[in-house]
Amino acid sequence: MFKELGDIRASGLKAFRDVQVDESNLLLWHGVIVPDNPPYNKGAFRIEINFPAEYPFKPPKIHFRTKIYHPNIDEKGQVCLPIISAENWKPATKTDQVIQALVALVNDPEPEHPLRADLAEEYIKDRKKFVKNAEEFTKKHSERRPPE
Amino acid sequence: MDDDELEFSSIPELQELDNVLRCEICHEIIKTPVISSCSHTFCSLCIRKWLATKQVCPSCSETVYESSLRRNPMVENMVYALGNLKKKFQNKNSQQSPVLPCSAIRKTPQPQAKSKKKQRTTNSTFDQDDSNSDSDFLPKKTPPVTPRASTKEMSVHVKSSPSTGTPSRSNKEKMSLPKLQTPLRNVSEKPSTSTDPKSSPAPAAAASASASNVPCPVCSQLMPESIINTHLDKCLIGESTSSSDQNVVNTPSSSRIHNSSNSKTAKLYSPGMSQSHSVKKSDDKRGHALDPIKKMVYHLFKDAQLKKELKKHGLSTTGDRSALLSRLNRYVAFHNAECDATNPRSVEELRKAFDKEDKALAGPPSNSYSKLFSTKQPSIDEFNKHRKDYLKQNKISYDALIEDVKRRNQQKRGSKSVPNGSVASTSATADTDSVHSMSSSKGDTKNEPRETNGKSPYLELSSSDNDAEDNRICTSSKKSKIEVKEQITDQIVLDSSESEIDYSPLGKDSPVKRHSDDSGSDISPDMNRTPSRTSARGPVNVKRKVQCIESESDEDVEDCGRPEKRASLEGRSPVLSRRAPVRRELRSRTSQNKKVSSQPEAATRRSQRNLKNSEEKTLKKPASPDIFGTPSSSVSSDIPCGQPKRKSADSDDALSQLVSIIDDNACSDNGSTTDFED
Repeated sequence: MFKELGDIRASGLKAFRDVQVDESNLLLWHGVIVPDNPPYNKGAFRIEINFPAEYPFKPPKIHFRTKIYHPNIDEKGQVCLPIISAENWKPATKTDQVIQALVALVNDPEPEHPLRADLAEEYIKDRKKFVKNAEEFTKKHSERRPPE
Repeated sequence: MDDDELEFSSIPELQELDNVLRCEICHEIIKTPVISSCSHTFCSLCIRKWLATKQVCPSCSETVYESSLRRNPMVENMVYALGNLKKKFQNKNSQQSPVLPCSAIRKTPQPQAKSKKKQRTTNSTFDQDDSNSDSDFLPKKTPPVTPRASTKEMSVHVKSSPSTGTPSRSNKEKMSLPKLQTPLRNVSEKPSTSTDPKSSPAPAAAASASASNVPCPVCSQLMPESIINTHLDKCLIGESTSSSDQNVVNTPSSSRIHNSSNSKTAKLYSPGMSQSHSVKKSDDKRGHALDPIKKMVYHLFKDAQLKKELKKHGLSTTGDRSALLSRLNRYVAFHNAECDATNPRSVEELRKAFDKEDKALAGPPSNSYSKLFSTKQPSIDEFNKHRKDYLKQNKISYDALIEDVKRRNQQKRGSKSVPNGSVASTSATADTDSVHSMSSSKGDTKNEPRETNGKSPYLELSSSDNDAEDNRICTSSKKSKIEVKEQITDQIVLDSSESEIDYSPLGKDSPVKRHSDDSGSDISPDMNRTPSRTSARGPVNVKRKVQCIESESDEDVEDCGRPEKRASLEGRSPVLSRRAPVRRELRSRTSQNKKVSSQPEAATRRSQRNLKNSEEKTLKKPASPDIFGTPSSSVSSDIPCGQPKRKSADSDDALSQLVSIIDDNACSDNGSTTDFED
């Protein structure tokens, strides 16, 4: 875990910052996702990565602590990310791969596998409206982006 | 090839190698590497653990079976080499500068001088030959230069390197070497070892000391070429060579090297084995030292079989089925992973290591689990014991409460009012809370409604026992009491005193409740008992009791029939059952006389004393009717003996019958109140 944490911190991922880990519980990471693509590029989103005790034999879980208007992330902050689904999980998957996948998902929603069908529908049928809503939502709820 | 890489590596490259040699699963430097059918290499234990969950390669998702895993000793050697290199670098860095000797080629000319120093420091423990100090790393460099026929040669170089200052490394090489090479190799090696080391410091020392010396491929001792073959035979058989070592080895330096390196190996890999054995056995034993456990479908095993299997491996058999299963599976993986190790630990060590891991893993949760469930269903004995303990602990407060109620009864004795039953029942429930608080503190009880005080013992009983039955009983008894109010207060006195009686080994909950609705006629026997137990109560109590009897005497007449019925229903302890007849008798008497109060106090006291004695006897022989009849001269003269016998016979079933009894009691109480009102 330490090594992975070190790797992540060292890798300097632009889209994932402020990685914080409680010394007493290495299995819970906090961080901020900084998407590049509109409509989310105006804010930052706090996430939580929860590693099970069996890690790496079981996949980590990711939760959004910041509300986000996104077809693949539900109101509770749960994310549908194939790479960390139980079926697809491989213990060789590195955490930075997971985070990259997550950032990619945030940047480019996948309305084909939605968690919020209404948003997915809006995303497909009325992209403008979706973007507008998402931007408003981002403004309202998201955190300030950390300085570059 | 790796040596080349190491040779020219500065830190980033070393880091790269470090990354490459990590297990993809645990991200640690790979340990006992195994290669899968899809050519991916992992730690043996990691991949086995993973395959237990899913039989696919963690890297490429190709189907992989545990049986297809193969050892990968070459990777293992690389790891060892890397580890030693790292150590060396660290040492050097700490001593001098981060610049590596080989970096001289790339970076600065300075390091050459430094390398000398380094060399000295590393060689200082061994025979040192300063003349050779030009290039500490020559042996490593030479491999690329000299035509390398096979990995064998490479390993030979490595072998010679112990003298350059990294004994641990040499050990590893020693151990892994034999696998790569055949014993015959020695002959072919000889030239290379003898030529190469000459240019390098320490090996050269050894070599120069005895030019014809060659290292044994198994134990890497230096010895004359002439005896190498005989030595090798011994070595391979596994004979202890430590004694012969001294004879064989010519140069003291080499013997020292050998010993030091051996001791390290022993420490690192097989603490249980003797030094020289550890080295040899690592080769010989491989494969048969630790046989892999055949995997079974343990899920289909029965619990007994599982336990048997666990016992077979010397593992603990605690925990539920899932715990057993997981432990067994984990152990098999653990064991089989160890089988892949170059130098597997002994089974005992394995077991110890596993136990440690197992405890660390499963210890805390299993404990809390068992705790959770241990309290849930206590046996009847535990239940009773707990209750008794509780009563003993809180005896003082009970006594105080009883006392208090009695006093109040005395005060109220003049004014008797029989209230309506229905109204009272609600107040009873409201009282329950206060009861608890009241019972805890002695003094407070005075001012509170008597019902609560009187009841508290029951409530305490029930709460302490955590028994649903009891709770029910309590409420019902409460109800009944409150409904009867005035008489109830008297009853309460009785009840509380009887609750004390429960201290006696035979005491059960049932009698307490039962008596509560039975009228005050119980008083005298109860009272007789109480003084013996609590010194605080005495004449005063008696007095009060008498009053109670007085007050109830007329009212309880109607009840006379009921107690018998109840008694037959409820199992009672002999002592208690004794009391019932007395009470009944009393009632009948009082109904006839209409006034028990006329009895002089002295008489009651006397009777109490007598009863006390009789009680003791009755405890011993519950069936004898005379005991009760004789002592209570004034209160109870003759006692029906039939009832007590019946009750005592049923006594053991008391608990199970509690609920029905109490309900019964409640009904009877209601009935009695109405009767009185009429």
